[in-house]
Amino acid sequence: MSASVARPGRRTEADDTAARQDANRLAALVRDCEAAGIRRRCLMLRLSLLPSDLRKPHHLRLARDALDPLLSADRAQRFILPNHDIAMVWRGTADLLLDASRRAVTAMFADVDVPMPDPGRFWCVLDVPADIEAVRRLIAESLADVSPPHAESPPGEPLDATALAALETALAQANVARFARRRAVCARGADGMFRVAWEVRTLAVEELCADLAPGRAARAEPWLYRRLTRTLDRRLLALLAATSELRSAGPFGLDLNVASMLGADFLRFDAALPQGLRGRVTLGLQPPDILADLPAFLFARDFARARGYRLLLRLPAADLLAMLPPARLGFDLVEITWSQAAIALAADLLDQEEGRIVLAGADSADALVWGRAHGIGLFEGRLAVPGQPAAGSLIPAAAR
Amino acid sequence: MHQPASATPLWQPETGGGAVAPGERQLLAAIERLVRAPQGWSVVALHLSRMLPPAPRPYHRRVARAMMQDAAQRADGQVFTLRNADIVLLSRDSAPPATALAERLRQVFGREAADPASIVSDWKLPLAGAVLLAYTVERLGDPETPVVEEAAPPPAGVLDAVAEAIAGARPQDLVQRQIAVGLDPAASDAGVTMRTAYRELTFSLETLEARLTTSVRLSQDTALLPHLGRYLDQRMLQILQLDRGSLSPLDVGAHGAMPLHLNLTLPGVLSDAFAALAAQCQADGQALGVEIALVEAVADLERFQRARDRLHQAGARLVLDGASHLALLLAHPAALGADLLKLDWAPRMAELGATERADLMRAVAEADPTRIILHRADSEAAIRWGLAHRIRLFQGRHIDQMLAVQRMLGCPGAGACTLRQCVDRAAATGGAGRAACTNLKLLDAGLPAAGAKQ
Repeated sequence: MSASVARPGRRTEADDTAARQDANRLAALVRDCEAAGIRRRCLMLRLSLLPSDLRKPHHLRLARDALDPLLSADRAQRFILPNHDIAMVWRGTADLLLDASRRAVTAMFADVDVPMPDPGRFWCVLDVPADIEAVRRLIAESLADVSPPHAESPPGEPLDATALAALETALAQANVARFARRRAVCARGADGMFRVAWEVRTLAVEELCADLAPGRAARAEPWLYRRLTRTLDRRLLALLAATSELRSAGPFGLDLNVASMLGADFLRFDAALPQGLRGRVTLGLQPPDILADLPAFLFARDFARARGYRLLLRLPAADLLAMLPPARLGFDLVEITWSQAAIALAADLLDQEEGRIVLAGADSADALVWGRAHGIGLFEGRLAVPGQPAAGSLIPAAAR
Repeated sequence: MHQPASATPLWQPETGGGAVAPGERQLLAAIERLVRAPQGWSVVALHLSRMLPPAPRPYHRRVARAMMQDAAQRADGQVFTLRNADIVLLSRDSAPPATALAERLRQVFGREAADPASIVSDWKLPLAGAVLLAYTVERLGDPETPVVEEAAPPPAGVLDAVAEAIAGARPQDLVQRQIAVGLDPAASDAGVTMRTAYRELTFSLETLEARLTTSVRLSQDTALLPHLGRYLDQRMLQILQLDRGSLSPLDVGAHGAMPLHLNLTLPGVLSDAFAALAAQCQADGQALGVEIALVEAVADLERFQRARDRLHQAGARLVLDGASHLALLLAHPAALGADLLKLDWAPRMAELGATERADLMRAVAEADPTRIILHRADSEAAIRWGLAHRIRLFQGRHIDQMLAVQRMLGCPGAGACTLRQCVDRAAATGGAGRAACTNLKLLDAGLPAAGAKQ
């Protein structure tokens, strides 16, 4: 199972900043310990594994207080990490203090009637520098485990037809450059570290919607959102074609509608694409869009191939892999999202697609381990960070 | 960079009375000059006119122009767009790039041509000079082919007007009925045995569009239509509730054992209103089938699976709607676990090349032909194709006519009706549409009680 993501209650920007500073301080501390051969003990209380009902602000406050006894240990320091995990670091043995803290934490959750995480993962005592990789991994997870701003639909009224029409009109005039975003798809390098395979260029839909249609949730009505993506496609393509950005761009990807691939904006973008980027641009398509007009898809696919684009089938549910064979549809790559459905996929189905799969939602070590075990070499998610170790099995059993 | 073979420009526009000559005349003038000094020239013609209808669609033309213009820029050439939709590129390029372009064009445009090899001509000069000249002269006699302009997608705001139109109309003016049949080739020489399989109630988009003040084609927007479907679900379920006991075609329980099929979206299936209808049907012993669009199923697989479970719990049949033969060739819709699959007939299915024909036959066999309904079976050819592929369930205009013929053979009042009238009255769900029929019982039954032999 993937680690559940910690998003209890709303936090202020100042809270987030402080938590990131704590994570950086902890990383610096363990680095110094490693460099100087200094030994420390480290308790990781992984509140991020708790069910969301037990991650309300008052739970977090109580958990922090429960660790107070450990502050009496030699050189003790407390770090509140961005995903709400708490790290305590101290020198020497402090078994009694550790035991007191453990009893306090146990008492906190004694009466809960919801499934709790595995105690071995939840309460994790490590030695530095012996377990330094595990500590680093948990720090990385804590940093990655936090949603970037606006990554989820903000609360708001769903779009209706009138609001969509107004949004489309506003979008036609808006300067969308400030909403342009990139997210990395990473490949595992020969050195075991992630490197960028390509960057997916997108527009930040929620931010854009908050700006142009305040109080509306862009994705709440799926089919109206699908319609909106056509306008977004046009604006993104126009943005890329009009700027000098393509001249210095590395490999990149775009998620498009079939109709957008056959539209005038794509043709202008294609004409502006430098020769050096031919064969290095990946176009992602979604199944409903493909099936809505198969002759148009086949034509768009053949056109894209003739112009040197790579095609990626983005499956919203991994179990669609059995129904939509990527190779038969003519795709170079297929993206599935780490999920129970992905884990349940038949091995031979995954074997057939070996070398072609991008694993999205690589937000946990489990996802990376699973992906690696199935020969997957391309990852997208919070742990797929350029320069970070690509292996998913560095956490000792005690911490997993 | 090559220099022109002659100091005279090859494609100087002709003028007559100040008007620029059409593409054909410009091309002819250029070709006449070209054949006099043909060395170093190549001509590539993309014959969009040879694509199978409905191609060339506007995007074919757009992409074709872009690819040819791109090639022209690279090879210092010129593009001529002709009235029959063909596009011709004259360039001073060497042979290999022109051949490569021709090959690329064949790959992109050949799929929708009757003969993929003939979609592009790669004329090498001077050898092909006479053929090229003949082709160009022939084009001068082409009639003006009306260019089908790309219809702009309907504005999103039109949905409000559609909702108003639905709310303001009488249900029987918007809802239509179609009966599907099972056809079984008899072992004897008696022909094909026909039985009614189910009746389907749907909203008529054409009628809806006709009631709007602005000209809108709802079916042209693959996103707005499914969204509208949610509203149509609510209205349909409401209508069926209100019409209970009315003995009209919209009365769920008034038609004996013939199963009722409804088109619903996933939220519609998961709604309380549907649960109430399904429970009522179960209590009444009325068999129910729900048709869900393939596109909707893949858009939200998790919700589709919940809807499928709910239908099975309610004893209702799940039909996957809207599968084309391409969907069968490229995907495995049967993997979604529906009870039946609706395959849309297209005349092209009877004209596929040997490889595609064999692939489709295999795909139909894999999907289990006894679970396929050949939908939009509008011609005798469709029925023949389906029976040859062991498909036994059919729905479409040709079936409507077959049913009407059988009804008229068994109806004492048939002398006053035409076949067309009998077809239209069977599709109507009330009002003037069926008022003139004197044998409503037979009209609603679909077939005379004993069935019929064709």
